[in-house]
Amino acid sequence: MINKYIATARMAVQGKTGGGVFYMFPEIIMKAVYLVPVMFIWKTLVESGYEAEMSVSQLLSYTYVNVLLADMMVVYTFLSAWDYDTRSMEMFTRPLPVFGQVISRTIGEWIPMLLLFSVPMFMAAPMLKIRILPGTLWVIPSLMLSVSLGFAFEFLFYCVTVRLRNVSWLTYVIRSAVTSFFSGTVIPFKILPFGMDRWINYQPFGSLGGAFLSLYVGSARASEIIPVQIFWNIVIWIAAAAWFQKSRERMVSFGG
Amino acid sequence: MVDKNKLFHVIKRYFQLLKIYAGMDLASLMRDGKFMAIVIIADIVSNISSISGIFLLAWKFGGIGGMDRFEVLFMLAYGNIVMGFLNMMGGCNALFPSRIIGRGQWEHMFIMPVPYAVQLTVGIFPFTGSSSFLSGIGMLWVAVCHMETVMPWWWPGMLIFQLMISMVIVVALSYLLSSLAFYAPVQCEEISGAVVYSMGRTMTFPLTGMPMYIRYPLLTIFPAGLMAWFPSMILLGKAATFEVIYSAIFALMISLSATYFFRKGFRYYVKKGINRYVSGGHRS
Repeated sequence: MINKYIATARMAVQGKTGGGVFYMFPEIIMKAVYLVPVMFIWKTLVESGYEAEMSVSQLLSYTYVNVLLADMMVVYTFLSAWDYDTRSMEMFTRPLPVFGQVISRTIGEWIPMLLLFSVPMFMAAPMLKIRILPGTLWVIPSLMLSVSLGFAFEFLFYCVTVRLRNVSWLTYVIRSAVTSFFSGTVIPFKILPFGMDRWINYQPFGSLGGAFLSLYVGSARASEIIPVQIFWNIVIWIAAAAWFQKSRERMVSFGG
Repeated sequence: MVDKNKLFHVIKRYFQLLKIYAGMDLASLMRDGKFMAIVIIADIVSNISSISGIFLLAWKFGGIGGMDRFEVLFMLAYGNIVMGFLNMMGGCNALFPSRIIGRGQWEHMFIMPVPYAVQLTVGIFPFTGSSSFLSGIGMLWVAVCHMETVMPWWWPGMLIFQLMISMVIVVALSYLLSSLAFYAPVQCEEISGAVVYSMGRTMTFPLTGMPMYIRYPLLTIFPAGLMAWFPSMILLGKAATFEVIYSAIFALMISLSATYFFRKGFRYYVKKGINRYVSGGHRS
């Protein structure tokens, strides 16, 4: 049974690298280009004498790990893309459950970037004086819960796209903007003003990458993070599965 | 005389097409009240979210690297105007030519009875795609109202000039890299998207206080700094006199390079062509 999913993931890897690994380098360079100024923002702030609730070492690790595992911090699948080539329809013509297909295909698409970018950057971290190892093993279940919740949101937003009659772009833009802030992956909740960190952790997007990263760098405890992640996983997965069942017959796709 | 008539016809047609596209956009927004309300609310949330991270940091720490809170807001607003205007005017992939080339759609443009420039620039979204542009103007207004510096009389003109230069740089860079799609259409289909979106993300970082080896590459090799931070420094009177013309010179150089390489790639394309469509009508 598992072989079908592995084969799907392998196809996704081949789809990503079919044109040659060389063509993935622009994406890798863009990731590095984004990483550098974000890391220097923290150094600039700390060197200016500002006191933050997190140390500069924690902030650097937070940003670094976020960029290394960006695909997993806020999950995007092909459901978020334009539905111009009937990919959503094809899901129903294959002998695999729809949810399983989407998940295995997406994980397959992550693999080339993990191997070409994340692994080398992980190895290079000590040379850049970045503390790369997590403070607790609770980060493993936390990452799994974070990724799982990411997939649940993906199905939920896909239903929004279907209900809004395929305005994929609008849904994508809104979702990207909202999750970039409310997931806490770019700016850690801990250093937000007005005491926002007291409540923002508990909104559903907060259990995505930001929760895992806080645990990873040791700015939050597992007992604060994991129960909230489990709660939102249950709620959002139930909502996503139920709404997907209701929305699937409304799907429309077109060639392009 | 004939050329003059032809030019007049093209200009007239251009405005007719703009009107048609604007009408279609308005119709898509007004198709039902619920949809319109969702779009407007979502746009507001989306725009606030996109700048809130850096602004909240600036608020908490009283500024970032020598820029005070409202100077940071000014920079973010400037960037929003640049990207918002380009997205509004270039929504039909005029800002992302590698998609048109890579998908084999440039050929479709051969048979249209108007020049390429007209075809590319009429696909506007003034109603559904203007939120970022309008929110940028609003934020800029708030930032300027809270600044202590008194702006000279020529400042609005300089603002418009700098905005135009920043937009030229983004468009030229997109076209320069999209030239690669003529040679590798499948692999480079999304190269313009990768560049423009990366620039959009990176432009929100205030580069003041960062070391030279970070700042200079972001003003030359990957000029995200010219989309918001550098022009903001000029407009806030924090740049040296000779720096004022740097972005204009950069815009000129990159435009000339883009023109040269795009034409070169296009000549290759008309000889080789591409065929990405399978018999079912979908792309390979």
